[in-house]
Parts: sequence; structure tokens; C-alpha cells
Amino acid sequence: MMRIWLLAAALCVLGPWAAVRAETQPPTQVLVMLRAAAPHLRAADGYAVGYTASPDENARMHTAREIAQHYGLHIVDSWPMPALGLDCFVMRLAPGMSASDVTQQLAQDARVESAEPRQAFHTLAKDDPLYALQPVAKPWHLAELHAVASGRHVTIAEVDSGVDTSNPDLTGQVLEQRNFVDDGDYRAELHGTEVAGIIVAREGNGVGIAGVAPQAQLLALRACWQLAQGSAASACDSFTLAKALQYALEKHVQIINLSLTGPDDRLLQRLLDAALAQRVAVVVAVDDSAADGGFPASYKGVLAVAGERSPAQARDVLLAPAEDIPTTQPGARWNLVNGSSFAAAEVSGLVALLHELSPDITLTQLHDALHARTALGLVSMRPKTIDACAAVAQVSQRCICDCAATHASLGEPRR
Amino acid sequence: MFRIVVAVLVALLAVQARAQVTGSATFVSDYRFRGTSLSDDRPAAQLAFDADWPSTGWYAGGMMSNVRLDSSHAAQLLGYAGYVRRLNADLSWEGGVRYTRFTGGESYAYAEAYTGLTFRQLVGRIYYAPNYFNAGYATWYAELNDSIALSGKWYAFAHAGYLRRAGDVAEYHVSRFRSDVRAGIGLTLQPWDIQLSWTTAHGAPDVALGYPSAAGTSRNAWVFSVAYAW
Repeated sequence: MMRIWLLAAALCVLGPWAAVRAETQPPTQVLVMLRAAAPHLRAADGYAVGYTASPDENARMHTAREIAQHYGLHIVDSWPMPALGLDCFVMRLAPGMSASDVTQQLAQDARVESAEPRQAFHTLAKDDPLYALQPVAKPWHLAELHAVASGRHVTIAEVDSGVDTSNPDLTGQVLEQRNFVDDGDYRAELHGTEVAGIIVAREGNGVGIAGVAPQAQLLALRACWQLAQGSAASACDSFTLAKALQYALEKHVQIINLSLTGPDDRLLQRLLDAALAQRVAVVVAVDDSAADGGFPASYKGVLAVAGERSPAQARDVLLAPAEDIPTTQPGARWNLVNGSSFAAAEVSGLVALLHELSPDITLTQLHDALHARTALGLVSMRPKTIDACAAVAQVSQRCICDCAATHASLGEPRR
Repeated sequence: MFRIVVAVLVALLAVQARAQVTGSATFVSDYRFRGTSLSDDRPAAQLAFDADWPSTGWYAGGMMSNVRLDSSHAAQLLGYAGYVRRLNADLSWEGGVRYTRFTGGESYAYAEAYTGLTFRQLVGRIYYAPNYFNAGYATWYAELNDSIALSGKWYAFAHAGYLRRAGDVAEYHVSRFRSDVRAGIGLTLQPWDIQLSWTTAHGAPDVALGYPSAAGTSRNAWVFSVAYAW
């Protein structure tokens, strides 16, 4: 029994370290993208076989096999990416092969649209819940905001580790759970459950917390996996994340929450471009340990969110509470959490409220509403904590809460 | 027309970018084309191939099937080539030509141009044949096809088509219109695809539309098919 406890304790300590270590290891797999023709008439259309099949998938598998054989690779998995007009094939390198060398060679192959290493990512929770309770609802006047908006008719894709819907605050709050990590069953995990609670925890049920957007519809897309029992540290990779992003685009969500970070990745950049082109708000946690905030927080067009005490100095970074946030955990448990992962979750919830108030809001309008302005109407040159009341007032054109400060920041006379 | 299609195929094969090629063999309990049996309500075997040049948008392909026309066995040869353009992630447009002929005493050869839009799984196309089945008059055919994924590897699909012929139909004392509907379920077990569907046709009789099908074929049928792709 003692051995089991020692092992569990060791895993808790080593979990976050293992996630970072995975990112420093050279990739052993590459992602090979093959172009997929748009749907079109085929020989058998209107004849014997049906109106459904896409036999060109077989053709791309042939091509992928030829490529794998030619370069000494082994096909591990594949996934269609219709948002980009591509099929993505995962190929394992043979021992001794360099991912960068292979991707360079593949890039020269006319059959290949693009290729890149399969890269490691990790979530951004600090596993240190030892601070006094400090409700996140207070500075954002959530109770007053919920009187006018609670996220109704807004769908949020949470790309994270698994969410446990058995927590009373999350029961009935998750529209769909999907596993993109492996072929196994969906799993309930810490980080995903913690992020989900901050966004959509049931309000007024007598237990736990209230989410920032308790009536939003959440797609719990498991693209990351918990590294150790009892630790929120989770790892993801560019393939699992790409699959989840592709699914979110298929579902036409309004918001994507990415409480994770990793290296620059071309495939993910292209999927983010597709999302932004569809006016999807992509809310991303900033990695304080990376000078540029890490990817995808550093990517143009996303809403990068850091904790209020973050050293992030980039002008476009949004600041939100990131310490001592009470949230849900698997089972009927709650705890305090810390990290920019949870600041991003808060902003995803707030964006859902803004979307409910203004369903046709553009990303530019969203950006303007969330970025604090000075009393003179000038955009602040430094990151500033989000003023939720001012953001809602700017979108709805009426004061909901904290009216004196809101009118001052908007430069409007008090009505 | 056949030469044009062949020329387009040859030109496409000459394109440097590598093609994505696939083939399929299909057994079908009844070969139904736009609601009409071309196999005299009997089973048929078919071979098809498709080639895509995704970087250019061009595609081409062909099919061969045994048929039973005018109560005698024959083979159908079909070739097509077209161009498809993705307008956004959900929407694409296409246009192309298709040429069909049959072996035997009568070739019933005809060419058809088509254009269409695809929105996710929903496909709408319009076809124009200036000399449908070489019967001496033009036809327009419009179709809508849709499918939806069910649980696991199952899916459901549906098709509705509407055909209008030109020319004089007074001698037949019938309508110049014909509609056909098909609905069914399918099971994908790569590389196998299995379907069961029900099809029906209403309106003008086969003879008024130039179809060379054997007399007395039914208008309603259950169709079972098994396809193997490689």
C-alpha cells in the first residue's frame, strides 16, 4: 500500500515536469497533409452506389502508403480536415530519422501539400491550490451581468482534457463530449473539468460555483490527456489538437477555448485562420514562461489571456483573475485553482455573454470591447485587467453594472 | 463527343501533379438509373475508377457495367471529366461533361453537361443532354442528394430527381416529366460499402424518355448493393 502512495506522490510531482519534458524531446512522428478534392460527381453517382461515399479517401490512402514506403515511414493514423481541404496522415519515423529532415524532404514532394513534425503541447494550470478563497464572480459583477446575459444560444468548444459531468455543477451543462486522444472511451480528468466549471457551472443549484456563462452550450473536446492521477498537468499534441479544432469548426461554434501552449505549428495556425475567418472567437491562455506568450497565444487574431500578475507586457494581452479561483473537479468536489488556463476560461465565458447580447458581433468589435480604454477613449498601451461591465456596456450600449466607472471608461455622459 | 472526353482524360493524365486514383467494383441487385432499371430488374456488376488532381480542381473517371437493354445483354461504357472549386469550407461548385454509350446493335450514345453546388453533405446538380439516349430530343434533369451519419459506421441517404424532356410527346399521350426518389441506409466497412435502398419513379413512362430498358420493368424496387474500393 505504501508503494502505491509513494508512486502516486511521485506522479503528482513528476506530472508537470513530464509534460514539459515531452516538448523538449525530438518528435518521433510527422504530420503529412494531402490535398482532398472538393466533393464532386463520381463515376457511380446516380447509378448503383450511393450518394454518400467519398471513394477519394481510398485514393489518398494509396498515396499516403506510397509516400510512407518511399520515405521509410509507418502510417499510424489519419484524419480528414475539410476546413482546410486536406487529409492529415500521422507517420512514425524509423529509429535514427530526423523529423525536420523528413519534413523538408516531404515538402519537396509534389504529392504532399505540407508536412510538419507532430509537436507536443501542455495545459497551463499551476497545481497549487493553497490560497484563501476569493470568488472570481466579484470583480466582474457576474450576478448583475447574468440578469441580462448568461450565454444562451452560444456554443463554446473547450479543447482540453476530459470533463467530468458527474459533478453537480456540470451535470446537464455539457452538450457533447468527444475523445480525440485515442480510440478509447472518453475520460474525466482534472484540468478539463476545472476549466469547464469556470465557463458553464450551473448557477443557483445550491452547491459549488456559478460559471461565467452558465447557460452556454459546451462541447467538451478531449484533445489532451492527464499525465498523472491527482495532478491537473496534461499533455496534448498537434494532431489531437488539430482533430478537435476541425470538429469545433464543423460544429460552427462561436468560441474556442484553448487553455494550453506549445511551439509554433503550421497546421494549427491554418485551422486557427479558418476559425477566425468564420468569426470564431479563439480564447487562448498565455504561457508566462515564454517571452512571446507561447503558441497559440502569440498568434495574430486570437484573444490572448494572462493572469493579472503575469509579467506579460504585450499590448494585446488581456488580463483576468488567475489565482485562487474556485472551480469544479471530478466527482462532487471543488477546489481553488491557479493559472492562465483559468483566466482564459473566464474570458471565454465573458465572450459568450457578449455573443448573446450581440450575436453578429465581429472579432474586431469583440476585441475593442474587451480591451480596456482610458477615459480619453485611447487604447491602453499596456495590458490591463478586463472590465467586464465596460465590455458589456460597449456591446449592449447600456449600462448593466458598475455604471459610474463604465461611463467614465466609455467617455459617455451618465444617463 | 467521346473523342473530346478521351482528349480531356489524356490531357489530365499529362498534368505533372500526381493524380489521386481509386477504383471500385460493385455488385447491385438492380441497376437503377434515375429510377429506371437498366438491367431488367436483375443484378448487375460494375467497375469504376476516379482520378483527382486536387491541386488543380480537375477530375475525371469512368465506369463499365453490364446492362440488359431491349431484352438482350450489353455493356455500358461511361466517361466523365469536370472541374470543382471550393468556395469555402462548406460550399463547392463544379461543372463537367459525361458521355455514355452501350455495346450492341444500338449504342444509345449521348453526352450530358452538368453543373452543381455542394453544401456539406447536400448536393444539387442540373444536367442537360441535347440528345438523351440518342432519342432525338433534349432533357433537363435536376437532382438533390443528401446523407447523414448515423451511429457507428452507419449512414442514411436520400435522393430526389426530376427529369423534363423536350420535343413532342403527343404520340404517347403522357407527361413530359418524371420524378424519381431513392432513400436508404448504408454501412461503411472500409474498403467495403453496403447499401440497401428503396427507389420509385413517377410520371412519364420509359419509352417516352428514350430509355432502352426492357418492357415491363417495375417502377418501385428495393436495391441492395455491395461495393469494394481499392
